[in-house]
Amino acid sequence: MSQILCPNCNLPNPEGAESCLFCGSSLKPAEKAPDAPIRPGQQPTVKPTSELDKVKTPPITAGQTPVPRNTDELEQALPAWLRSLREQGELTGETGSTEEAVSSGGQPSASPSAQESEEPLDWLNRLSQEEEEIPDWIASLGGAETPAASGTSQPAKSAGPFEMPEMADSQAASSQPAEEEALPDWLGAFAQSPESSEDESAGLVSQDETASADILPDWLDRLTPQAQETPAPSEETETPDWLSGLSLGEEQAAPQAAPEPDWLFNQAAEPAEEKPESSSPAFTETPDWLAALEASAASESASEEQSVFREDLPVENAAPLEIPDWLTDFRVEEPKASAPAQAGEELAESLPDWLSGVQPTPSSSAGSVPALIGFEETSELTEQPAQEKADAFLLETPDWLERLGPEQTPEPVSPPAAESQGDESLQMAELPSWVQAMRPVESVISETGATVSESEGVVEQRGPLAGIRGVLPFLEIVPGRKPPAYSIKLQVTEQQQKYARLLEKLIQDEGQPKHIKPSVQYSIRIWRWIISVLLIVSALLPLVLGGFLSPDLTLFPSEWEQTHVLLDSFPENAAVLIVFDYGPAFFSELQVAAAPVVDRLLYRGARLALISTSPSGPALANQFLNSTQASHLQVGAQIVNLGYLPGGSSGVYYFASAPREAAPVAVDGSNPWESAVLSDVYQLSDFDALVVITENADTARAWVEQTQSHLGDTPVFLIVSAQAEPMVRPYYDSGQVDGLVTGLVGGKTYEQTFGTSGLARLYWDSLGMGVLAALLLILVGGAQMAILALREKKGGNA
Amino acid sequence: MKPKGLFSIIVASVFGLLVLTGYFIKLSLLVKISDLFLNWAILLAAFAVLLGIFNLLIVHMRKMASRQKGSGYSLLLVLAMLTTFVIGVIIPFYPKAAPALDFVFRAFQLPIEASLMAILTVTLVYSSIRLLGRRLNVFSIVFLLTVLLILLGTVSFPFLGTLPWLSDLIRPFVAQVLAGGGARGLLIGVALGSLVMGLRVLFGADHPYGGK
Repeated sequence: MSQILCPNCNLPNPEGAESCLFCGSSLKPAEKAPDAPIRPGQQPTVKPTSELDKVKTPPITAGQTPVPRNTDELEQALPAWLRSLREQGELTGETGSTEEAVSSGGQPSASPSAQESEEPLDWLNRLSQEEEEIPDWIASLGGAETPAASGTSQPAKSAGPFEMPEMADSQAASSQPAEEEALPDWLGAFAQSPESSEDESAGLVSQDETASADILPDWLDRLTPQAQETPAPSEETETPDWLSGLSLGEEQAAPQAAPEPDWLFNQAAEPAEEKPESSSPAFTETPDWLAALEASAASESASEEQSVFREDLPVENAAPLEIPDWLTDFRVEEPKASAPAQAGEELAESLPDWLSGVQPTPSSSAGSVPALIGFEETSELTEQPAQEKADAFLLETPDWLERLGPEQTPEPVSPPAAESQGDESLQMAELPSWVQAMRPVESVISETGATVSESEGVVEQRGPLAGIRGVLPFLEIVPGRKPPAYSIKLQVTEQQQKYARLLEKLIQDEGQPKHIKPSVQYSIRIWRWIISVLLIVSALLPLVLGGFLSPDLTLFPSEWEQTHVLLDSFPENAAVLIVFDYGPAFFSELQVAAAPVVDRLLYRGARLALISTSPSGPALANQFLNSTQASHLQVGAQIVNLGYLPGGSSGVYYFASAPREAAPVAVDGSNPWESAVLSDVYQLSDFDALVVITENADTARAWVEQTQSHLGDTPVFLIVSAQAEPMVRPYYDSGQVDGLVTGLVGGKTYEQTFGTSGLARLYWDSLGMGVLAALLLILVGGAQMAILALREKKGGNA
Repeated sequence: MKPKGLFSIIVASVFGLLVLTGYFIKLSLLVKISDLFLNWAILLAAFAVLLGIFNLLIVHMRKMASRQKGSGYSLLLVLAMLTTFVIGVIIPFYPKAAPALDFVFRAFQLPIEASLMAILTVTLVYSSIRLLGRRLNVFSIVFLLTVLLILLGTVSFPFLGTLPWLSDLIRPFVAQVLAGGGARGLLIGVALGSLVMGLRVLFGADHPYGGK
């Protein structure tokens, strides 16, 4: 038949009972949330620790004197393994009598009944049954504690690691004589001895504090006054006998009592079925800090997990957690138990290398304080003389810590966020920059609050330890890589040297003058002289030879017939306006071209009015008449020279619109409009023909265009140079011009037509010979130049 | 725009429109106004020629006064100019001076300009010879071939006369069709350009009379 333990009085109750038969407290919460101790390999679950918040006292810090407090309410919140520790402590502290154990610590102070004293509790029965399984060292503790209790004084501060508040309360509530009667001998001796031992331990502690205050860093220095200000409690009245015995026994069995005894490991590894089921409602959920501790313990081996549990958990991570008084006392009193070197060596052997190397490092103590102080450390702090501890601090304290003397206490720095929560958390040590730089990245990240992941350890991501949790990251531990040392000497590869030589050669070649192959240069002046001589000779040769070398034209131009018809259709004594608008350079050509036409006009008795838009035109007109029409002038031909007509196109238009106003005076100063030549001419259309002699196409166009609206039926003849023919011919083709005579060929054509022999015939042979010479020169010279050009191209390409 | 510029544009546009109107509309008043304005323009042009002659005279006289290099040629130019000008001016009043002017023209101006034309002939022949040596490409060859064809088809060679096919077929085709077509295009372009330019001057878009 199963029973339920009352969470309040720990007395068994029948299954199904809703309230305790002994104290009347409710048993339901225990059924709803049974708590089972975590086993190795299990992942801890985060549970609320609101029960722990009931204790408003600040957590004890290093060097602070613990103060016993009433933690009855928290007794129910104890985890199972602590309960089992207490139970085993009771077993080791008592002589074997269950009744005495119940009367000393297991009986609640509120209702001590005779039935309880007579009938042992169920869990106590199990403890008695498990007594066979008690390890040897516990047995040795039990045997040694009796003399130790009598001979060893329990310091006032060392209230025992497993202080049971409720038991202390019960002792305080009960009368002292009654307790003395119930206490065994060894406990009675313990109860009497504290004063002397308290003085001694107080003296040790004070010495330790004063000695360590000289060398401790500021954070430890700040912690010390708090411990001094804390009133020293009379813990001999609160310390349960079993705990006292346990602590005494540990002190006596210092060589065997390792900092982490086996029973502590066994307690953590005990299955839940073997332990009495906790019925405390507050214990239904594991506290956070315990979950973190248990998780770290479950993830590693038994020895490693204890080591990590004891030392690797920094205070700064555990600071936010509220440590109950009993746990504070445990941590403070544990140092009273001596830490023998042998036990330390055994522990060191069980630890991994990295932990063994980390363990004695003072920086860990300076930078972070373990949540639970190990036995070696506490023993060193309490039992060793103050001077030795000071030396130990001096030896193991880094330089930066040494420089921080008491008088050099730095200015109080505003506590971090974690510390600012109040006195409940430990103040975070101020790490120097080089220590912060050496911290692994995970630790920095964990400072943000990820205490659980830090306690679990970081899973290695690479390397041969990949996948293993809790391995120190090796990359971050390695100090910063030193910058590679570069040689001052220039390191150039063979290929780069090759390129450098090539570039240097290119630059050197650019600096030297380049030899240019001399090309064939021909003297321009000689060639010009040769060409000039050939052309002159070819032009003069017909004149020298005499006769006619070239036959007459057999092919006349297309405009010849129309022009010839018009010239022969003029009436006699017709008024013809002849425009001499050409330069002296074209005088010979146009003279030959115009002479047959003018001669034909004069031959038919036409009256000629000469005018020009060029300043040299009147002189050219006189020269033309004197050179070509001398025969006609001698017989009194009617010719009047109107002179120069300024204004260009406007002058032409003005003359076309008002001839008399535009040219009122002739070259000789007479009035041409009153002469017999122009007496009947009042406007342009009164002329019988308009003959324009010009070498310029623009001039011909101006006369054609500007006079067209005033000419009426008057025909227009154009006698132009050969170069102007292409530009003038469109006017002839379009009908705006009635007759066209072009160049020497045109003059020769009309000479042949009219059966005269003039300048055209004279120039005709010279023209043929010159053109022939020019053709030969162009052909021969051009071919030679082309060949040279091709050779130069081929030479350049080669 | 400054008032002066605006006034110039207004004057040019108004007078231009009047002359243009008189060109198309044969009203007696418009024709008379148009002829009057054209007469003014002719007088201004003639006066401009005189101004040009005097400007040239002043430049060369300054050159002689400063004894610059080539001032001797300037002296000859000034002397010839003054002589010809005086002869030309006195002819209306003294007609017996006309043969002197003919002599100046016949003895100096006519042979000089004819000699320049002869030099041009030699230069053109020489350039045609070097053309292929300087720029041997298709266009140069086509240009030279065209020159040769026109020359061959234009004249009558001694002892050969005109060349058949060239004188009556190839040369007329090149000169009258190919060259005539290009000339017509040029003339049409010139006519359109003159029309647009005239309109721009009339509407004040361009004002070449501003001296800029």
